[in-house]
Amino acid sequence: MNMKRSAVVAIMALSAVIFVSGSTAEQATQDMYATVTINKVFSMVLDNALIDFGYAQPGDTIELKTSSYYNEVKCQANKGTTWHLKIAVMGTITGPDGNPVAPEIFKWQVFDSTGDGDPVKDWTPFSATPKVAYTSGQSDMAGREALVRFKYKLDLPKDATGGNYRVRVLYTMTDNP
Amino acid sequence: MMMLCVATSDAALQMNLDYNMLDFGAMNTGESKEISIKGTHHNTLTCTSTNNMTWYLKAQVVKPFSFMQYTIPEANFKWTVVSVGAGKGIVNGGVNFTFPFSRTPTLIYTSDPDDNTGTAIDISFRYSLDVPENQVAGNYNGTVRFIMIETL
Repeated sequence: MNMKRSAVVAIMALSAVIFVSGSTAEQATQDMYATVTINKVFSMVLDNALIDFGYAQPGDTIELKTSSYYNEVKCQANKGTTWHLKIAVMGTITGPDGNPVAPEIFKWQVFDSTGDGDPVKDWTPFSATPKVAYTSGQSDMAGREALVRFKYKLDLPKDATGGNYRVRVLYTMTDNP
Repeated sequence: MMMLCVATSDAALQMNLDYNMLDFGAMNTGESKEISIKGTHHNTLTCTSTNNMTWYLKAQVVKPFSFMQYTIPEANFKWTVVSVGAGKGIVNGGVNFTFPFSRTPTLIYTSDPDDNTGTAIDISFRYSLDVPENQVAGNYNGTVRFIMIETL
């Protein structure tokens, strides 16, 4: 009796094994390993390098393009780290009379930007030391192109000499704060 | 019973990849590149079945191109079947047409009854990659899995 019961159990178990084995789809797999090196980009393009205020009288305030921006800087970087766009006066500024002029009479502000970073939107006096005008956001540092648009203003003191004023500006894109 | 189990699971589906590395080298953002180091193709999968059952070749990205926390979308990574050797089955989408990889298994080839009796079917591929305009610089690596299976 026990032998008979054991045989029945064995047949049932065998059937289960065959059923499981037959119902499992066979498959084979192969893996392929892929690599690529993405090159670094760190570039800046300025669309208009000449900032000419034209003729100014003592005491005048001249704002270039009052309702829009004067020039734009196209920045692109994909290093994955924060970068800054800085702005400074380049060289010594001389007035119409040939005398040096304080750079602070020239001011700049960021009108707007297409990036997701942090622009300086307040009027800021120029200086010979580069000042941060824009700090990149997450998308900016991942390779997205950011256009940073600037406005400029001249506040000519009452005791200054009237004449034509222009300024040369140095733009620097750097990952140093 | 154990011996019977081993006998029924004897592999009747076999697959061999002749070259399992795919190096796109250095690329710029926005650049596209196609790789076929053997001229017409990059590598060949040889599939053999003696089961007399329809089998399917699929592919999936099991690890997308990754570098640190950054990835390249798998849709930018593409495959093209350039030939199927003695195969009489159907290439999904057709030979010499290009399709994106996916994280879910995507059908590449469906066998013909003549493919299921031990004939080695050589399926040759080339690959392409479109680097997005916004992609962080670095060394990316990923893994593609080819699957030969009898269920769709």
